[in-house]
Amino acid sequence: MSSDDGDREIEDLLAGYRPAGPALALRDRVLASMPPVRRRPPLLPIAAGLALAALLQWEAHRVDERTTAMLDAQLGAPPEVEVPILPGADGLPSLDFRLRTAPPRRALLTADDLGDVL
Amino acid sequence: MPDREDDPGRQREALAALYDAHAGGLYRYALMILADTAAAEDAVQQAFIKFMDRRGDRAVLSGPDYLRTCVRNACFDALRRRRRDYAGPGSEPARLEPVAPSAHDDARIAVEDALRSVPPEQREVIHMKVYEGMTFDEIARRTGVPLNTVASRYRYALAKLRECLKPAARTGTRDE
Repeated sequence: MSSDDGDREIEDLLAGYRPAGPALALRDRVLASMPPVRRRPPLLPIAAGLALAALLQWEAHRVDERTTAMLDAQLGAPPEVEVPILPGADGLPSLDFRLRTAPPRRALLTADDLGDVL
Repeated sequence: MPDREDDPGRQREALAALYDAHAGGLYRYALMILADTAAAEDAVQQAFIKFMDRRGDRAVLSGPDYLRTCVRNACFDALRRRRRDYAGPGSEPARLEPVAPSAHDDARIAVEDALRSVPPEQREVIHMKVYEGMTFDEIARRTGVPLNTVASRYRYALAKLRECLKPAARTGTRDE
């Protein structure tokens, strides 16, 4: 008997049987173990909210730009003020001129500043 | 109002239909690999749970194939655990049922014993080839095992079965 004949014989023998099927209880077990329903989060309201927020922000930015451009067009650049330089007795600009041309954040003069000038 | 697919009643119906269509084959497949009824039931249950949990994914759209992959993974995971924990064979070994009513119990028991002597990887190939009628190419594709390996496993399994079943095979032949 050849090897192929032997294989055929074994295959025929195996084919005379088959693994037994599942117990009926397995069906109930599987159905009972069904995972709970997973509700999908409501994506549409979230997406709509995000879109609205983005739209409002874009609109606010646009209005801001337009307002700035309108004001610039109407008011123009601030006129340059010519400040007469009146030299003091020591040949330096006067105290009045130095106070008016000082940087804006320097609102107060200290005693030292005055001492320098005087 | 719940969506149609979120309705628990419909989900249960869908699962029951899926179970009725595929559980028998999947269980037999698992039983052949594991040779343990309890472990095979666990593997099938795990597969269905995983399927229902992930049924919205694109990967599980081909239901039966996905279920078979899940069962296969569960079986080989169980075998790895069994080997790691040095656990013996299951409490209730696999049983075969005769296709024809005239089959002898002695021969059936001999086939069961012979199959238990074959490694699980070879039993899987035997099952897919003999009981599901697949070609080696299909088996290789479905299991992800190289074609030559699949063919070798089948040959080794048959050789082992022939060695164990010679008397039974002769008896079966004589009875026919």
